[in-house]
Amino acid sequence: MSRKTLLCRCEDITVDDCETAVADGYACFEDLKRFLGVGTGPCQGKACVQTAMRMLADLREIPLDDMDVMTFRPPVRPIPFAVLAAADADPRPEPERPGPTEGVGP
Amino acid sequence: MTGLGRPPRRGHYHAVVVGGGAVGLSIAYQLAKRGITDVLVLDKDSLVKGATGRNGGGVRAQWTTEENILLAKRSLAAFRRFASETGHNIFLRQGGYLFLTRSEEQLARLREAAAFQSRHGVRTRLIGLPEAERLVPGLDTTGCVGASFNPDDAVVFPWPLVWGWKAAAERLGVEVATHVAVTGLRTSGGRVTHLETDQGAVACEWLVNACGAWSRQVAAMAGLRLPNKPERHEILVSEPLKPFLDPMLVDLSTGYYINQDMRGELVGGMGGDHRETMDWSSSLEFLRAFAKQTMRLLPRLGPVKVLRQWAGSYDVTPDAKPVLGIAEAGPANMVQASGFSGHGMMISPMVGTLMAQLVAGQRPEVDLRAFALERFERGEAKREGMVIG
Repeated sequence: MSRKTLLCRCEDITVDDCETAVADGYACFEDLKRFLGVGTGPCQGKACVQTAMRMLADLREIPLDDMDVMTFRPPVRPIPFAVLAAADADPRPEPERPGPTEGVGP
Repeated sequence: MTGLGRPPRRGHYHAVVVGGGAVGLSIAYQLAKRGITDVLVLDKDSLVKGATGRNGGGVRAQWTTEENILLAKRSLAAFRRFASETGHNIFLRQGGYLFLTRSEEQLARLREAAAFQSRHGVRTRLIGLPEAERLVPGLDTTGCVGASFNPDDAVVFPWPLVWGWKAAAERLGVEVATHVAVTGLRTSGGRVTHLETDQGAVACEWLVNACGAWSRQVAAMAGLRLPNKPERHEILVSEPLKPFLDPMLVDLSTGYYINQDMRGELVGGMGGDHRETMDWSSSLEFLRAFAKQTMRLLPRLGPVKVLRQWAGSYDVTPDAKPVLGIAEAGPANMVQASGFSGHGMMISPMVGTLMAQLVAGQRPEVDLRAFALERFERGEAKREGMVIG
């Protein structure tokens, strides 16, 4: 991995960009997302967030478990407007389910 | 989590700004430009996490009150200078705002508003449906009766506003501390003397309350009651497309709005039953309702995919205009800059200028009486009629 290695392909963010951001004091993942845009492109973080979190944890010399996780937003997969517009007007209640980060970490 | 905070470096500042959003950082930058550089900006979280990071990026001058038009016009001029002034690109694109209406009654109000706006130097005009269809490719105007259009209205990407103003203010000596929460205010002799935070107390000569939906709580710490209420509004973004949509399109019958940002994504939200809450969860109801309106107005977008949805707060006042300036019932050195009711980002450049002028002892270049907190008690509040989303 070189400093020019692409970390986030959607938003053209390199390892170097990430290191500079951390050196500037952007310490948590929410900072990094909002400062660099990592995880906000078409993949919505599926391709980059884990790598970026690992890198951030290493740069800060803290365990990965101590890193914050960015809020993953619905929908999990992109859905066309036409499908959403045709959705049942009175859907069954949504099932109880754990949040995306429950069960993760200590 | 460890090591997140950037606590204040000193125990005393000339001015402390609570809230590191577009409004707070614009004020800090304008203070620094006036030579007041002993300034601390405090935010309780990461930056760009409040309304500045959650809004749709619209910047318009089509308002129904003179004071809002004035703030919007001068702010638009400041946005045009932003990149050269701060070195940060806010992706400003002046494609205009197109307001569609479906009732003759509303069209009459739009006609009146357009005339009012053009008297104040805004290039708004009523347009027919064929012209609306030319401006918005694929627009289905069935059921519409007319539209208004101002070619100078714009969209920006709001996030770099924060980084640009922060960097420019820091270059001039301003300090920005994040992940520091204000827990109380100490007052003496009708003035705020200290802010208490979760990381120690900070003394100040001036306090600026510019923390959006949390402003009501900070004001209450000084015994001041603001009428602001946080309303939950939802918004979504689509996958990026080739540029095709120039104006911000608004349907006044539903408060539906959609624009295409410079990344190619469609960004949109709509009116509805906005609950008073700080719960920012997303709902399927919004996705469905927005998608239905999209299929009605822009049926060609059927195959376009929704990428992400989220919610945020409008900090809403009874007349949908902000509370600006020093409140008579509050501390004499506490400046209020809140209650922006969904249009704080778009007027943040001028609000920064006005509040900095106030703190610097200069005469604010726009009369602040229309924004005084006391207007609600005196019955002088004149409601802004063009709030959407």
